Amino acid sequence: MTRAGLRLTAGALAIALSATGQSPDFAEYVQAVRDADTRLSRNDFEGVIDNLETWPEKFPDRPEASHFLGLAHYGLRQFESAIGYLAGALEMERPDSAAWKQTVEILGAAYYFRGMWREAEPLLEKAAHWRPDDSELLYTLAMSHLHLGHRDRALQEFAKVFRVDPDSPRALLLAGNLMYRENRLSDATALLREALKMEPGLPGASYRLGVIAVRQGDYQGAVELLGHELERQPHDAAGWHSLGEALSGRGRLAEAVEALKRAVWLDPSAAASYLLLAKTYMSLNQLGLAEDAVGRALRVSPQSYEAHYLSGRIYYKTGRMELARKQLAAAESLRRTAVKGGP
Amino acid sequence: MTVASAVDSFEHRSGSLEKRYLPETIGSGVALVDYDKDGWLDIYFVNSLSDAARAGMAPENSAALFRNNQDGTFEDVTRQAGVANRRWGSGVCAGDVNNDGWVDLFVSNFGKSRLYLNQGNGEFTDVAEQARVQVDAWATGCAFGDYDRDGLLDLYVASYVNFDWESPPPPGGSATAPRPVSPDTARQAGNAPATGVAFESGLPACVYYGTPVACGPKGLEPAADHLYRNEGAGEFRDVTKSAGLRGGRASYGLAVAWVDADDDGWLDLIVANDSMPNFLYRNLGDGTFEELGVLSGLGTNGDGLEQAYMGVAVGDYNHDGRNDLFFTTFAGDNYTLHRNGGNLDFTDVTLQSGLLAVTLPYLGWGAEFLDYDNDGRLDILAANGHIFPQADPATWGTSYKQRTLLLRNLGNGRFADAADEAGSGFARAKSSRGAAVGDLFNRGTLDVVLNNLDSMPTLLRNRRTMGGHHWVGLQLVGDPGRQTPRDAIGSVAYVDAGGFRQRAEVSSGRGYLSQSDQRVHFGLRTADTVDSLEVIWSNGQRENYAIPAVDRLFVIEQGKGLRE
Repeated sequence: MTRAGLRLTAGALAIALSATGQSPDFAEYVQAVRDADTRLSRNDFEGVIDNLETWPEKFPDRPEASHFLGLAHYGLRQFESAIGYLAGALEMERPDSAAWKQTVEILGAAYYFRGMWREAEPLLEKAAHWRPDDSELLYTLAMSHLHLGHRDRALQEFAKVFRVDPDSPRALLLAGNLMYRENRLSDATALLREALKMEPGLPGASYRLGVIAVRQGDYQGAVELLGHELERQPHDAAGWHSLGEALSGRGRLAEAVEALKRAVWLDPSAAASYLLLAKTYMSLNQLGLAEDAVGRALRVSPQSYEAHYLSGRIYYKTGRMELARKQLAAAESLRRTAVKGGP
Repeated sequence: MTVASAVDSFEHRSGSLEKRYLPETIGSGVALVDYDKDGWLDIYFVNSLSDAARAGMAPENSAALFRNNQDGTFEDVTRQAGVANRRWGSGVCAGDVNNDGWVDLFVSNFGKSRLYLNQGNGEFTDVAEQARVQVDAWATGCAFGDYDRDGLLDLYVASYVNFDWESPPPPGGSATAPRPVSPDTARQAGNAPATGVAFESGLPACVYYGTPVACGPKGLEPAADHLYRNEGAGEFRDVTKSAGLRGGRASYGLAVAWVDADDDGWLDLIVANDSMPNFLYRNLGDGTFEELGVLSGLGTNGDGLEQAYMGVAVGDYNHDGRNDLFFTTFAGDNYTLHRNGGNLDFTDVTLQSGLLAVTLPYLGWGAEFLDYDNDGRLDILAANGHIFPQADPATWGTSYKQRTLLLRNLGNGRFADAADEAGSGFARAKSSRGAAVGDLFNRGTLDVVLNNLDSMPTLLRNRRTMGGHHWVGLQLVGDPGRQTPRDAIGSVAYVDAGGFRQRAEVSSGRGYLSQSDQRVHFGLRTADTVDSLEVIWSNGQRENYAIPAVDRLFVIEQGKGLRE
């Protein structure tokens, strides 16, 4: 799936081509493919595309140019183009050949990155047969299952990736966490509840269910779940943070402050907890304490635009306009940098 | 009751059903105005154009004006009234621009906008060109307000994108290879709402969750808004730059509201911008403005992140005497409630108000505060619908058609989804855009009208049994001789009843591209008397009135008193 992996079978594919006894045009084609192979090894994807772009039309029955063009577009993250070329190559390549296998893998990955899970899933499943230990491939396959709502199949693959027993509560917890990350909250909830049924008190399960409850606006439920978790795991800073969030959601701001204080005592590097603490203080109109919390967030994370933003808002609320403008300008600049840099 | 009312003869059309281009997605507004002064609200629906009409291969689609027959039905009088528009229409706002006592309409278009002057005989005349308010851009939200307190209504018109129909950006685009972006990463990067929106940053937003979709607004050129000062004698002057409105800085402007946000007697201006911070222009009282959107806390959410702001509602939901603001936003992001703390300081209280999770799946447009059950507390209406038809086959956790949200004010600073008591009309999913609220049948209850994308509209008649709740309605009439516009836009009424004080005001525009009832309505819960009524007219004059009875509508003329 990585760009480095593209070379894996490309060399073999190029070497297998022979110009002997063919037309001059074909000899040129073979040379272009070999050249593409070399360029691919240097990650010169644009060069591959420039050199090969016209060849599929000239030799529509040959898969090599399409194969390399697909790889090059994949390398450039131009997945739609990659899919076009690789789907063409797949039809022409001999099943189970090295080239065919690479096409299956990369085409599956391209579909995956294009969000076409339905098309990605069968290809990645095939690839998993000959790469049973490739964690990246298995992870991609698991995520495809997940996006298609194939919860149990996703669970099986995640268990393989993380080397846990797929029937264990830990596997359920693991899959539940990953499903939460992908916003599949009902699937995540089902798995986490099942995990808790198998092992009441399983560390992390009530925490994640509590976080999901916060996301769903069930703040009272979240308070209870996070309370259960923290009884067993009082050292869990993330748990205290989420409890603070849930209490804020219930409007229990003073209690939220207490929870968030515990979060930052346990994890003094948690800028997010300082920021939530600052916002809670702001809601309580305790601006001095809010300013202190934001100051700590800025020390931990000086490039946090949210910290600069809140700092600016506190200065504004306290009438220090020049400082407010300065901080908000800094926040805006940091935010724009983050956007430009991309995720 | 859409069909029974006969407004179903109107059908909104906006380009292709595939929604290949941004202009096809944003829909149009609706206005509730009493154009013939018979005491009953009429309905005006703005329309866009079908693909065929835009290509000149079919007649242009018509807007529609429905006269209220006062019996629960409406009659289409568009032709007689001369308000068909037949251009790519976006929004509508109402105001009596010449103080003749007849409500006029500004219709914002993609192309030349119209100012329909009410002739007082059931007909309107488009005077936009003579009045110099044609805009000739992709105009969206509009609102009348007397920002300089000269008794003449001025006009602000927002514009969205400089979009070229001759070379529109294709869905998906050519340079839009998607990266898999987790919601958290996107949020941290600041280029996406809280969850789910996986637009590639730095490129035209043409791909959503890996699916090619209509491009924009990000990546497209934002358009400049305009402030037009009413010079009298039927003419307006573009004062955008001289008024200091960011030198006419371009933005993806959608909704507009004139609001006296700091209660200093001068109308401030709020512009809801899609994918950019909102503007809050503080009126300095000398004809100029100062932009304080981000500083005041209103420009972004409480995390300092801009949202895809669509509609804006204005109202005092917590009875502290100040106008609070509610914004609808994109799907996967919550709508946002900003509490007004005074001194132009707004706090995002979405989480504490219980509005975060309930609004997350929806893509919102029309936004209004309304007291639907006359309990004296402002509830919230949010009209919803996704912009991408691809939402239905996809697994985005949302749908193209969405139900309209009615969010009940619980009285403790929190709101709850009132779906279980809102009735079947609210349960039906549509791709709604403009929404207007008003007492259509003069029953003392607030009804809702929605303009739905590529569909017939929705008229939601409020049939709720009010359980002994009372109300009072006020129609304010200003005195232009005292520098108050005749329709009293910008004037505020405070009512004390049942142990609390409520605020309401005469407004133009607001919501999303729409115009709600300009009469003010107060639910009184079980109070059967009004302790006091104070009106602060837009010229600053204060008057107090005694309300002799409840459950009826009164007309109050500035300096003259109250009549039923």
